[in-house]
Amino acid sequence: MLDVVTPMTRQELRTALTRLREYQRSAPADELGIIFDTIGFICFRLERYAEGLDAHRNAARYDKGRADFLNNAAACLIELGRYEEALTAIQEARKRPPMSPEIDVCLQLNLAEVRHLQGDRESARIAFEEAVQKLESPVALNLAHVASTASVLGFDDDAVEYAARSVAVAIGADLGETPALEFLREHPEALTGVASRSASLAAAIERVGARYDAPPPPDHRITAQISVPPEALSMLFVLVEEPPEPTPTLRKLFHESSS
Amino acid sequence: MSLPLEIRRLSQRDPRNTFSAGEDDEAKALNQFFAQYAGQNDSRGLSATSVALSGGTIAGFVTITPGAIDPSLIASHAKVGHHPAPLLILARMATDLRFQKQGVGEQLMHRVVFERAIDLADNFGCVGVYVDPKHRAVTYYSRFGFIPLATREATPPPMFLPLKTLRAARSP
Repeated sequence: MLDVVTPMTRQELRTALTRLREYQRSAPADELGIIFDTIGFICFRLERYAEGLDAHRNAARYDKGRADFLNNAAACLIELGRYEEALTAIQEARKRPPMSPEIDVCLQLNLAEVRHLQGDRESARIAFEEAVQKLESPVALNLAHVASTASVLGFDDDAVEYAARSVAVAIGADLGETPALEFLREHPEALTGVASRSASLAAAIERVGARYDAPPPPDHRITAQISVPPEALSMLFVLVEEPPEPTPTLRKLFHESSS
Repeated sequence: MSLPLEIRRLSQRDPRNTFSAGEDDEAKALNQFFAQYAGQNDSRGLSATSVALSGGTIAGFVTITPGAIDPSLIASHAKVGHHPAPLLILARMATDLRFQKQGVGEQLMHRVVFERAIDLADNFGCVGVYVDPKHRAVTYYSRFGFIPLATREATPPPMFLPLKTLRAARSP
């Protein structure tokens, strides 16, 4: 379930949920936090966000030291459109000692999504950048979360990039300088798996793909062959033959850097 | 005052969607180019984009490509004849809003555009640097000595900086 590249079907998720709920009834108390959190995670994948929220809140009650349980509750609240409550959950999570730097990143990504959905695109952009800057060791799940958030924020290209990084980490490959979209296309099963995580990410990958396969629009084409009217051409050749003296700004540019 | 900057070629791994040169139409076009086309142009060998980084954040970018004047247009120029006149095209340049007026453009112009033009001249031939500026950039390029190639057709007109002027600026 935590494997970003292996898609679980909805039936597999429902089966896992049933088994977990059965186990939860007789599980020792010290395991209930993680069990409820996992139940919440499955409900989230099944888009049963209200159930997921209840499960994550139960988890947070059983294990009060875990910031990630509150973070996961915030994710459900975002899907339910309860943005102010999501912000409160994020703030509460920040008061608890984070389990790992990855949770700090997740909190920041959720904050970015809330800001975006509240219409504050600039705050969302800043929060997203801060999340990316906090990424330390690459963890596939974190990278997939970055990809998903990027797609919600409309950062299609970054979404594809982080989806590719997530797959690369998951399968132990080196991206090198391979364009992200090409890398994902070279691993179609993994692409399907990571895209299944969120509809917005799947849509972003499709949009980037369509653009990548099409010629650029006229405004974005780069012309290497210059065509200018005769009077401009004549002027250009006069300048080539009788070049003007460098401006003070130009001289300063070269000489300040060499001093 | 100039920021200390790392300047290097754009990597396919560089995040590009958070770069913003502004919100007006010209800036949005530059943002879109950087986010969506700079990387794929580079990977296809169609142009070369370099970025200036401040503390790991992309503060600015410039895209250049070697070009030439359509040889059919210069047949009548006696000294050049039918040889295409090679030049370096400054295709796109922009500074992120958060880093404007801090010398980012100057450093990109110097360390990428002008140095690459001189390299091109030294190794392959180059008569100068050519740019089709946006309205907002005409005054900026003029400071470096770019001359508008007056034409009734284009507003603003394309601009040109001869290679010899660059060499003169670099000489002690």
